[in-house]
Amino acid sequence: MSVPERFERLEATRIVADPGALDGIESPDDGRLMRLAPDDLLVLPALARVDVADRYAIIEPEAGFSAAWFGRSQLARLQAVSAWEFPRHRPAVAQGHLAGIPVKMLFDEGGVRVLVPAVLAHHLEERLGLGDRRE
Amino acid sequence: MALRLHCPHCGVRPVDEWVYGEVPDPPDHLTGADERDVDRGFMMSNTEGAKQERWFHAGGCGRWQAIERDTTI
Repeated sequence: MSVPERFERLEATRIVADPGALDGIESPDDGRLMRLAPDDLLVLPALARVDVADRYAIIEPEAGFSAAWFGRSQLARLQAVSAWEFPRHRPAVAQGHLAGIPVKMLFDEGGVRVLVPAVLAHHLEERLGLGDRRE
Repeated sequence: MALRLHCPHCGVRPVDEWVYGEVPDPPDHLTGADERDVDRGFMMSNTEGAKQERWFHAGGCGRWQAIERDTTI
């Protein structure tokens, strides 16, 4: 389905460490790495164990995001509520405001996975017109 | 057209995503410690031209960036 009903809570692993140590982390077989900043990495899905070559690395379960998948046909709809241009290469990671709400986006050939702070997920659902909001 | 700032991690982004952080720069003729503190805390320099600033990319990578901005453009 290319249009999600709602955002679902995401379980990931957040690693803050020396940039060189983060460079050496390999993506899990069925997962993805999102480099949020030179010293900040988000691993999807959550890892049971990870080795980081930095003794001061901070490795924590990250449960603060909700995520939803949008098919390629929905990209124009998302671009219309963004003041910045989406990357054209794939795969790609982007961060910025979507409909005025900070998101992180993971672009693949088939579409984009949108991560939003969980406390703001319902706002983004409303602004994107997801699901049935009539009660 | 809205101000757009370049983030080395995220790319060019509109100013809405950023939080401004002025770098206090008391003028040289203020020599007393109290005077300089008051100037640093309350007086905007309002520079005309190129200016070093700090901006926090709250809507993106969540990192402070040192940015030189020309206030006349």
